[in-house]
Amino acid sequence: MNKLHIKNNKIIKQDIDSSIKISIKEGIYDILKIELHILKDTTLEFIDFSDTSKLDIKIYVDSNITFNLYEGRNAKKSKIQNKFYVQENSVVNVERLYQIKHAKQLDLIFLNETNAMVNINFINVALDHGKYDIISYHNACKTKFIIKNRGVTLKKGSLTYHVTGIVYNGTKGCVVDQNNRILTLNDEKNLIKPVLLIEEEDVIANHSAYIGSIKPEELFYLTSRGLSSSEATNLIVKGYIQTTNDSLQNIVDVNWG
Amino acid sequence: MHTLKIKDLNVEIDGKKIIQDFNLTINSKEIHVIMGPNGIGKSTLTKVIMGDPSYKITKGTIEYDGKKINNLKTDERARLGIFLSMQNPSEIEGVTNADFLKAAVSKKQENFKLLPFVKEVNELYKEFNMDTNMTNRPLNVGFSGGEKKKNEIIQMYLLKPSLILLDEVDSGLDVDSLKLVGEKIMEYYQKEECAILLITHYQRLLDYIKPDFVHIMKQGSIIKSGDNSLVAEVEKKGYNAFTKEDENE
Repeated sequence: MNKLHIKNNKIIKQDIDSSIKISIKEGIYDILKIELHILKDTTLEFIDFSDTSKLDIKIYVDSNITFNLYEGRNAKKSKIQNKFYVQENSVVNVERLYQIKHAKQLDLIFLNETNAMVNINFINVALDHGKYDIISYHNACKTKFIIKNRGVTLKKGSLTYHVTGIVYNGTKGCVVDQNNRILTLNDEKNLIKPVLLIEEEDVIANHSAYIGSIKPEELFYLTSRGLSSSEATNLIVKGYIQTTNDSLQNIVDVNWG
Repeated sequence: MHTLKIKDLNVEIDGKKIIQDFNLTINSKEIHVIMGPNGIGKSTLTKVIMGDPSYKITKGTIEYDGKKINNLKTDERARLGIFLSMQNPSEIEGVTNADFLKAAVSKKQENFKLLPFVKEVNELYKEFNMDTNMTNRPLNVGFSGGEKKKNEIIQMYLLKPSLILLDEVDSGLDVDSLKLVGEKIMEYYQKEECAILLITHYQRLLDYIKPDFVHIMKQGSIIKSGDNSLVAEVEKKGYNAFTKEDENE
């Protein structure tokens, strides 16, 4: 597996094979600019544990490629822009597990050719305010964007998800599927704004949004088996943020301690 | 020997009275059945005994083994040995059956050991004709009605309670599963010499679980008590034949 580890905006581990062409530059305002050209089927482990993280990331995926990105991030403050450019018949699977105090992130997904597809499975523990804008541009027919956001707010944490899908007239057979859930363990305000801007009739577009705390009947059920209220809460939260991806869970366990 | 004693219990939710002046004593090695029409507080009673914080006890006491448990939390009551098999067990996304069972059983057992636990769980799943892979699925998510009820009774076997509250354990079970669940409950009852309070609408479960006492509940309290023959009377006459006046007979 390819590896790219960042700490405080510096590369501390770079183990990349010929499947990825990488370019790293320091930009103005301490922004680290990373460009990745994905040339073959491959997997990248991208870990970031920083006090402050300012990243501008561009990922270009050539045609007929499957690219898996396992992203683990543990930061106090992060400001990140990701751009994905996906070509014909390529699939990008992104598994994210974040624990960030203060976050501002923009993801721009450009699905540029037929059958380009991006799946994002995003698990997020918010300790302060996190704002995430995710926009998918369906620039060709039969392109798919599926996102599953699952956030938990702890301490002073709050989350804002703006998720937008744009399907232009004439780009037939596209799929836009947005699933956003925030589990609140405090009284802070959260916001989910799912937006579907659809000009084409031949499209499958779904969105769902849920913001709420643990259901009292779930707590009652677990406590009726002898678990204390805090143990039951922990079990539910742990289950909620557990990634189904063993590799990412392992990466996080090893690197986050 | 364990005893549940409910005295003059009055319960409300959102200002609405659900249970009124309810009295009942259940000892170990006794099976009590409560029957009655829908919406008269049968399920509420089991939840209140278990300590559901949604309900407010306005008057009366619930004692277990001579100790007043009105103010005990749900988990504290569970640790005393009270178990509620729920009518609609919660579906909890993300929490696997295995993680949940392990957390619950390890909390109960001081010398918890993983391997014997796994062996016991697998054997129980087989005995209940359940796929052992279901332990890796999220708790009750995607389970059929019957699978949920079997899962409740498997939990009962693992937690080994001394007082069992069964709230419509027969709903959602097909004929074969009903027989299996009924027989397994009786097997546990005879082995552990526990006390059972069973809520049901139908006689069919009582072909397998033989009650010592049958109570008819209406308007939040017991209006008539008797032996097993009362079940046949209910089947024949319906609940409308029983009125509050029967209480004094």
